[in-house]
Amino acid sequence: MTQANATLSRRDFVRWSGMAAGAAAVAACAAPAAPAGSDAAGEAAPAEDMEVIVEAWAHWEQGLGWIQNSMDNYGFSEENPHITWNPVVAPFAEIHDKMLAACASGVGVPDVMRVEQGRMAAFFKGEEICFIDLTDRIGDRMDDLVLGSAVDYWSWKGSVYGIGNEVNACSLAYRKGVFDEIGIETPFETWDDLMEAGVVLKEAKDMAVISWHDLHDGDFQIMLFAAGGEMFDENGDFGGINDLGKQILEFQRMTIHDLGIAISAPVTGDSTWSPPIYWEAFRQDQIACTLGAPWHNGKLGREDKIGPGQENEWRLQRIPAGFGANLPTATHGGTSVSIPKQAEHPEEAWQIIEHTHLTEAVLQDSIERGIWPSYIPVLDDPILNEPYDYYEGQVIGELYKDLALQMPRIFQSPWAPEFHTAIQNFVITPVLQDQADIDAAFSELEPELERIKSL
Amino acid sequence: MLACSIQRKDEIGNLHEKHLRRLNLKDEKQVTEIDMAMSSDVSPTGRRYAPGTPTGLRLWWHRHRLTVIPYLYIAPFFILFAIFLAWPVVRSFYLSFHKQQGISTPTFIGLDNYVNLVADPRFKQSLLNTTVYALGSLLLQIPLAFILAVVVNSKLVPWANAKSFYRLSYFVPLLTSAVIASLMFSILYDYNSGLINSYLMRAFGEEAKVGWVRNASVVKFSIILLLIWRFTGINSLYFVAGLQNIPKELEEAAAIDGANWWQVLFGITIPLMRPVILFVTVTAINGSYQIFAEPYLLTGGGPRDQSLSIVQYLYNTGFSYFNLGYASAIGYTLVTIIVILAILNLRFFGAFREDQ
Repeated sequence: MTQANATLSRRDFVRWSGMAAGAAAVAACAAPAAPAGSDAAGEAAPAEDMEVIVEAWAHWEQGLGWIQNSMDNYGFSEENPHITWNPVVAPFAEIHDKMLAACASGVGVPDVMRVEQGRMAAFFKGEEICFIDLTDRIGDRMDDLVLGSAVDYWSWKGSVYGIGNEVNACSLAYRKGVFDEIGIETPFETWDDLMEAGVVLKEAKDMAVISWHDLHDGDFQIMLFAAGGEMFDENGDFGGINDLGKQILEFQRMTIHDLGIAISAPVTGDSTWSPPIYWEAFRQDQIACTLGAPWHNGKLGREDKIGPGQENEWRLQRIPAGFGANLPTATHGGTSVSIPKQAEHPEEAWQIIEHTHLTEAVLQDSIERGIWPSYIPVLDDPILNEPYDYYEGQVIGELYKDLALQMPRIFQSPWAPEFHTAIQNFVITPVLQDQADIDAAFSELEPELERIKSL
Repeated sequence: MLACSIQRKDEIGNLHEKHLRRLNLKDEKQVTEIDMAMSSDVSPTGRRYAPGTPTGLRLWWHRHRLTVIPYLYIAPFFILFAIFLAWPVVRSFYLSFHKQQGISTPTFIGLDNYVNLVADPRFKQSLLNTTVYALGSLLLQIPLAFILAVVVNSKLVPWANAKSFYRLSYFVPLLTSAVIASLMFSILYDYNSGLINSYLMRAFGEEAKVGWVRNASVVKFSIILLLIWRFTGINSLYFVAGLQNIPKELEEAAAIDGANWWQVLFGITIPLMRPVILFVTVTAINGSYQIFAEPYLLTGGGPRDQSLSIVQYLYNTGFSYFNLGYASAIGYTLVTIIVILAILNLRFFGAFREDQ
């Protein structure tokens, strides 16, 4: 071999580098691999023993961790050793933004996405919804689900695009110990009972009976659902501009401003529902009741809620009656598992979802996080019906089962995020902070909602 | 000398061609290598080659390689720039004239997105808020930064080590990430247990508590305070650098002529600082109109959109509401505003004057 042949010249380097870069560019620009099992992928479906990695995205680790543990502990991994779970976790906004971008581009799409109910609306805009319709896959098992919590937030025009595993049955948590001290009988039958108790409580202990969220429409939403109202109707329009909505707002406003028995919820600008300072107010004996779903007030003894110091003082009850249909509960919040249409392994993803959400394997999340499942057949399980010491041995599982079975159905709206912001800006905050006239606020809200829809 | 050189070149050329014939080399690469090695000062174009020399594409490459190769070297940057910056910019301009919500085919709607923006109360509110932030930078932050710079550069801070210490201290807030800074300020601003309210309460009682991030009439000021903390230092550093470049002789000459400190400051220092002031003003206004992280993290834009910035509204529209066409229109409107303001600033400071 001559010297000339053995040495790599600069020209050769440029030439080969150019060829390599060109090849890489061509490879990168190539169309993504067709989904397994699709026509384009070829005739043969993947073999049973071919390893399949199901990639799942979520905004918190436990949200995917319990599914992995459920697969391991309830026999799925043993029966399907070829299917493995690959969790990918990123911050809330980032993971949802990534999902939107992946849907729009069709590249880098996961097999399973956990979609928070508030972010689902964005996926219902446009001509195509990027998730697989699960309605037929769930089939008759719909009857086994608490639909108001399990599917309604992720449904649009009669099709279900995700399943939430938690039953988010709202209830009222009240500090029984304090009410007992001042001789008030609990639980509260009606909102009027609570209001009367609040007057006595204020007088006796200078304590607020409840706090209303003035930077968030959650309380209004819960009370509207429990009154038989609709936050959004079947077409996605706001359903709270009516007498029911007005009565609820007037009640909240009156308790803060006229009676002085309620306060604005102590929250921060960026976390307007229940940041640490919210719970601090309860520790400081400033508030005696809180309204919300199990993830909010189900277990107030947790360190991230009220925590130690008020053991045996709290109880849970149904939402008091007094408005509209007097329903005992309403749904609030939740996160689904959904399968994107462009997922590489949709069948395996569904197998996992089916196992972890539509069988007793759903109990794994109850064991890990103390949630109540939206899958009705397991609601009698002893795990969910143990006495809760913090509530002086109250079996809250019994209450949640009772509430779950009376859960009202709701509708989602493609404009939900914009509408929620507008409702807060035009109605909730002005009425609860500045005592704005409710009718005038509704009048201002209506054209704004129309404007949002027209964009 | 010249004749000698030409003769030498001819000799080398002849020797080269004889040598090639002898080796019977047909590979263009080898021809070129030897050609380059033996007659590097001779242009490759116009040369006569022996039979078997390259034709077509190879000949083109042979003739143009010296022109093309540099472009290949710089191509990676431009390819990445085109894919990740230029294309999105062009694409979003295209989208700003279309309706595109969610996953759908863009529908051409002309200027509708821009017309809708004019009537959009949230956009107007975000524009007002952002303008207030920019004014806060202009009227509070920049003068404060200049005062700090003058103090550090003056005899009030006579030691070089102390000047370095201050310069370093000024830089620290900028090194603190926006997330950490916002978290810090949210603790300071907390209504019930925040440090500021606890001092106010101790001094003036319960009634003195301020809803720093909850009260619609206060929240913009709270954001401005945070911005002042973060960016005054870096702007001050620019001013310090500018002050150090002003010849001392000028100030000394003015002092000898009887000018007092204020006269020197306004007659000599500030006029000579004009380019630096222009730079700081343009970057501060530009930065203010692009503010996102601080209001997003501290207030989420609330209450009642009173702290919502334009970029935050753009982000919400694009990602939370998935209305990509409208978000693109907001983006281009923001660009237009920033460009207009930059031009106004340049004119105001006389940057277009010929004597500059």
